[in-house]
Amino acid sequence: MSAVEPGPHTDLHGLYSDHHSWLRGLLRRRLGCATTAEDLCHDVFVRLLGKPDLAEFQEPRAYLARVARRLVIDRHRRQVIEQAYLEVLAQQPQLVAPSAEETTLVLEALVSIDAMLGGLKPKVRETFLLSRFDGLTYKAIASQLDISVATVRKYMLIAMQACVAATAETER
Amino acid sequence: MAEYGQPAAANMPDSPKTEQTPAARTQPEQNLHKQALEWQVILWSGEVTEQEHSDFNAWLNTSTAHQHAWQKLQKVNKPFAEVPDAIASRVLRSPADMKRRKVLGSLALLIGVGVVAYQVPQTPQWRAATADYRTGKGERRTASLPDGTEITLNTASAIALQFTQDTRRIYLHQGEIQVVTAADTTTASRPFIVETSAGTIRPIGTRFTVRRMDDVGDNLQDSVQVEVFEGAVEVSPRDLMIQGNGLRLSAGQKARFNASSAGSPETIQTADGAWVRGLMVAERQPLGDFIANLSRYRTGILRCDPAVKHLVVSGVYPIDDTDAVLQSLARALPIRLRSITPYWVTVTAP
Repeated sequence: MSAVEPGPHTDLHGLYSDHHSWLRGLLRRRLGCATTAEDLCHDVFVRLLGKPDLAEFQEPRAYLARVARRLVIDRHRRQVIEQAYLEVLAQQPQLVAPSAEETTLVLEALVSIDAMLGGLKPKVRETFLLSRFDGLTYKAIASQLDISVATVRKYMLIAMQACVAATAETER
Repeated sequence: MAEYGQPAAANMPDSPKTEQTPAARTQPEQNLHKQALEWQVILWSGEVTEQEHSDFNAWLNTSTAHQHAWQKLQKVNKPFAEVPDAIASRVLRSPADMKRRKVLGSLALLIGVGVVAYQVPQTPQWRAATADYRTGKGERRTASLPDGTEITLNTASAIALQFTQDTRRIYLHQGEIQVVTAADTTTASRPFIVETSAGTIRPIGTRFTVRRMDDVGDNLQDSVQVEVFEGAVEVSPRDLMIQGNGLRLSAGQKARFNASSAGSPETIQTADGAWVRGLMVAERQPLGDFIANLSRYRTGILRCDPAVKHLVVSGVYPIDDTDAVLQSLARALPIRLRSITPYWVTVTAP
């Protein structure tokens, strides 16, 4: 049997055996829902698959908790967006109801845009939204937000850089 | 910021800028990405001049590397095009604080209701429906039935659907399904029945899975496994179909049965039903069993050498990427993957 368990935390199996009950317990206490905790716990371990450097974890629990925390935040943001989307849909005239597939696609896109813009300062975010989704020119944005056109350009660049970074992050 | 306020051509040199980025990949590539970004910001201004347009075209046509950088950026922009502007404009400005709001219910629920309402024409024929659904190896799909019931088919599964005036029947021909029932919204609610070779399963407002164990050779021949996650079901082996002889399973229980007998109920485990979410969960599972299960999701032949079948596996694995799962096993356990072709893999001792 010794070949079966190649020392503590050197691989996903060891990590899972040693810590998954702990992580599940932690999530259950934080979230107060056993099913959600179980799902998130699974997601955390799936994230670790294909990470070659598991053996180098000095503090696996700290790492697992960090991954879990990010997933909890992602999940929360997703719920916020989903909620907002539902409300907007409910207020739309019911002439053309979107199909289930369409709704799911739009929601996915909304969640990923929200994640891209997540770390931006409010004014930068607002600039980006005005440009991309309200169709305003930079000149119009400048006058609406009382900033210079050059600042609008700067904000747009900052926003796009954040989008590029976020996309690279999810692809990794 | 003055950098971007000038005419575009002045800001977009074809030669790399002198700015250094630490520990970067190749400097030219970094610069092309930066230039692509700057062009994007200019093109979005809403007031692009003829000159800027032609300068941009010139930039883009400089080399394939330039075009590559531009295309890469357009991938980042993809989600922007997938959302109607009016919706994005409102949703993305909504307050992040949801605690004050009351949750209206899940999106899935709303869609479910919408679909049902949509599919109810005035004629009574709508109630009668026959359909076949199947999945190939490694596939998984969910079908919404006319009554709102949701069926998810696991890998290599086949069902036939028969909805009549009196009953809603699903025949499980092969493989495994999850059923999430909905109350029949018509005036007289029709019983819902899952038929298998071994007998029938009648759910009572519930979520459960049914799997034909054809591929599992053990003492209970031609058996079917039922796992109940919510509500309850009544299982009736074919040869014992006298009323009252059924086996009742409630949430958290599972049981195997065949045409003539039913095993006693057991408690469902974390691993059960994980496939619906695309996962395989192993808790100290013998490698042989793990590989047998994984092979359900993999095209071609996947075998485990008896010499290593007693090794123990734990973890959560995505069933949609069996290659990654095998690689992960090979890293963690004293095993070797021998592949004659990609379609024939044997797990052996090193």
